[in-house]
Amino acid sequence: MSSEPRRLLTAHFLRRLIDDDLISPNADRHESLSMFGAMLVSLGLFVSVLVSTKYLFNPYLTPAVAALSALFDRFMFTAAAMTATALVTLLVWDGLAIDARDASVLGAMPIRTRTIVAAKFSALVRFAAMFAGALNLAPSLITPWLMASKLPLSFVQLVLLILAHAAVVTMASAFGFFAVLAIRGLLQAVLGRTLFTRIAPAVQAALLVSVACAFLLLPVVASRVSRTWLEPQSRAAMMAPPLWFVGLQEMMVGNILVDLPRPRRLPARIAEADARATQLYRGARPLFPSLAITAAVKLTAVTVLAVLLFAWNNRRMVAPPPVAAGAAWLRRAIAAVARGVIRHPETQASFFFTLQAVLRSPQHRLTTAASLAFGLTAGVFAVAVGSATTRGTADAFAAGILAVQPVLLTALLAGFRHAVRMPAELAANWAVQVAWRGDTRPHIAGAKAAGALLFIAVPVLALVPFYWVMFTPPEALAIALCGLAGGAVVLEAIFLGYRKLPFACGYLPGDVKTIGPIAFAAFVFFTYQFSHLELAALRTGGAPTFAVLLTGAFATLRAVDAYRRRHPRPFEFDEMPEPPTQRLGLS
Amino acid sequence: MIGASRNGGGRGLEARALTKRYASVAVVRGVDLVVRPGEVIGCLGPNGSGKTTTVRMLTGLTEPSEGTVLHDGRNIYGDLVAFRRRIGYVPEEAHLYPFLSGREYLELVGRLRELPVALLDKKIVSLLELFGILSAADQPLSGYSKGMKQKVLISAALLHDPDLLILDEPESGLDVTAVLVLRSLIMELARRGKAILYSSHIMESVERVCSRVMVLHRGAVVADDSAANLRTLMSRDSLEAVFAELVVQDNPARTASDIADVAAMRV
Repeated sequence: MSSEPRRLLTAHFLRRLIDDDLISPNADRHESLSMFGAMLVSLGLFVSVLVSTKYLFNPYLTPAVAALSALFDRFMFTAAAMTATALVTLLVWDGLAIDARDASVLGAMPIRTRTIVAAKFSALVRFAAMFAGALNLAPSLITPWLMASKLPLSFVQLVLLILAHAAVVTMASAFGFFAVLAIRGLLQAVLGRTLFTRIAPAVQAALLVSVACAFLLLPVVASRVSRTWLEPQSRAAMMAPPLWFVGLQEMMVGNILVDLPRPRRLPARIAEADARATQLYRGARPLFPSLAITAAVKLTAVTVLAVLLFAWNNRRMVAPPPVAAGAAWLRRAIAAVARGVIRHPETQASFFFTLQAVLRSPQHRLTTAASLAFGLTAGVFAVAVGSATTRGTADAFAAGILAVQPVLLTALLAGFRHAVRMPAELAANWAVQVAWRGDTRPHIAGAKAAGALLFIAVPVLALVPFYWVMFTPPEALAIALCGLAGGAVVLEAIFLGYRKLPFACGYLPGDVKTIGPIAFAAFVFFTYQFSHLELAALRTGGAPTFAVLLTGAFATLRAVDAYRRRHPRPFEFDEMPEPPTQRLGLS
Repeated sequence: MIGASRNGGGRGLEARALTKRYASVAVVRGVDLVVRPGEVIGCLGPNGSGKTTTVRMLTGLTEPSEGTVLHDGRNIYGDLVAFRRRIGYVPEEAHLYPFLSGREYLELVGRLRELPVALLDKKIVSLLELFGILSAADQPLSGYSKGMKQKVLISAALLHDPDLLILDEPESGLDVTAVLVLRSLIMELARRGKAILYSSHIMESVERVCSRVMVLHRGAVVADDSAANLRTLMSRDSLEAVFAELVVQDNPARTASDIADVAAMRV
């Protein structure tokens, strides 16, 4: 059979993977791809130069010190490649198998199922390879070169370092990609299509949160690598997949740096440091062969498993079964309670639609998962910073623990604010637009009510047991009250400037370069101050006063919001973004 | 005014010299149209004749480049929201929120239309039952067939008992029974004083349900009269023959033969 259908189908599937997340009527695939690719390459370039400063600006860099530092950097690059590729694979989770549309359109074609499956698999591999290439290109070329720029390295040795880096980060990316594919395939094979279809969104969200947390915590984890993980007989090393690939890289080119000739005249202190580093590095060396073997075996195993499961699960062109309805009694109970609390019909409509869109639309679930991952990671950082502070240790630790709640709530609410701007389904927006009665206020009120339920009440309740353990029960309840009031303040504040119809307008990208740093600074400032004020209130018995003050702030923001919205302002449902030439000031 | 309209006393929908251009290309040119309460106006035309663009301008979803749309004598763009409260619209494509169930979609539309909850629940159950899709009411719309989606769209357009119904190929995907129900429904609604614009490719339906027929060709109105008058004027025995006379440029039999020849081509 000609390879033409397979080639065409591969191109078709690849385009579908890239196009699937269109959220704006004016989105341009080429522009989005260029921006994303440029962002990845420049990020890799920036990180490469940043991590290389310790080699470039060390006047007494010795081969052993460089080899030991390289362990830390190699772990970071390998882990970043692995987790970032896994994250991107998770983002296209629904596109990782033949879907209903493929089955209905291609199933009727005179093309063998195995050709379609092979094309789909090929498209997935190309998609992952494109991402991994853009991510790893700059670090592979630049890092080894900058790392060894002050060492007496030959050209051949430099090329070997570059090739080894490129090979290892590519393998790490492949591991991240095939691991996600294998997990998905295994669940589908074991649970069957119907059950898998039901739980797939929850699995995707859980994996996304876990991998995103791992990615964000990389700098913290990487700093511990050379100190504890690579000790002889380290069990931790065998548990961490990125370290397997570090071991492989060390087996390939590790000796190049550490065995380089030392300058004849080294200051005694530097020579001593070099000797100590050499000893540490050589102490870790026995671990590398087993790590390298583990990397090779597990990469092969996970790849074979993913391929076999992919072939097995897609052996027949069968459209996935429709998702069955959830528990009707639960929906009716929530609806009955909500109807009692929310009286305005449009607010009710917006409230229910927000819950449905945020929990069921793939785009919105991803946004929520990403903000949850960021919130959890930032919470871990807050606790870590609190534990590491030496001054006023007990209070600093307590403030760190208290910061978890505002950090998590603020991250979730910021994600929610972003989700509200994205259309629930671009092509279906007409229904809301036709039925809209001209006032955005009830819609925004409904969205905020749903946001308060999902992103304030639920997390605060989930954190009560944690604070119950860390503090006393009355303090845990006071913290929960402060969390509810603080969350309400944040929710009101971030919706002050929102003027459109939630979930029913085309997405217009914001100016992240300007707003991003300001928002991040505000996030850090607010959560830091909030936790310290909350701690002071708890220590002095002023928690009720603090909660009342927060409620006052909430009421003030509500009044400001009502005043600002007293006259409806016109807006466009599908606002056109400025063309790139305009943004760049070229026209 | 609303009361007057509900009783068939309003002036209905009127379009004057509607024109729509995309990058200087006119896809609709000077369309005049009147749909009075109690009337069903059929809108016929070949693919690309401007039917859907005309319909979208009449609903206010697309702004005309020139011309006006009046509802009960008032320009709809003066108060688009007030106009939309009174229309029911079934679009050409069944674009729905795939993650909602049929019931949830109708609840969303009904709440946006501010229908009382008890009445809304009753209407949703009754409409879904009458359309024969109540058993699938709680399944996601992503799993619905085209016909089932169409039934949901028709139910959504009727929920708030609108004065004016704009139906863009509402029979698309419906089975024979549902098509018969829909035709009877349209006639019944017209008897109750609703103004209805019915855009379709199916001549038989248009001939049966419409009191007047407007034929669009290349963006312009080429005929506007009752089906019977058109048949008499054009000396044809069916609306299909009238339509062929007005808009079909080539001999369909010869075109069909040419297509079959192309399909049979060999290297």
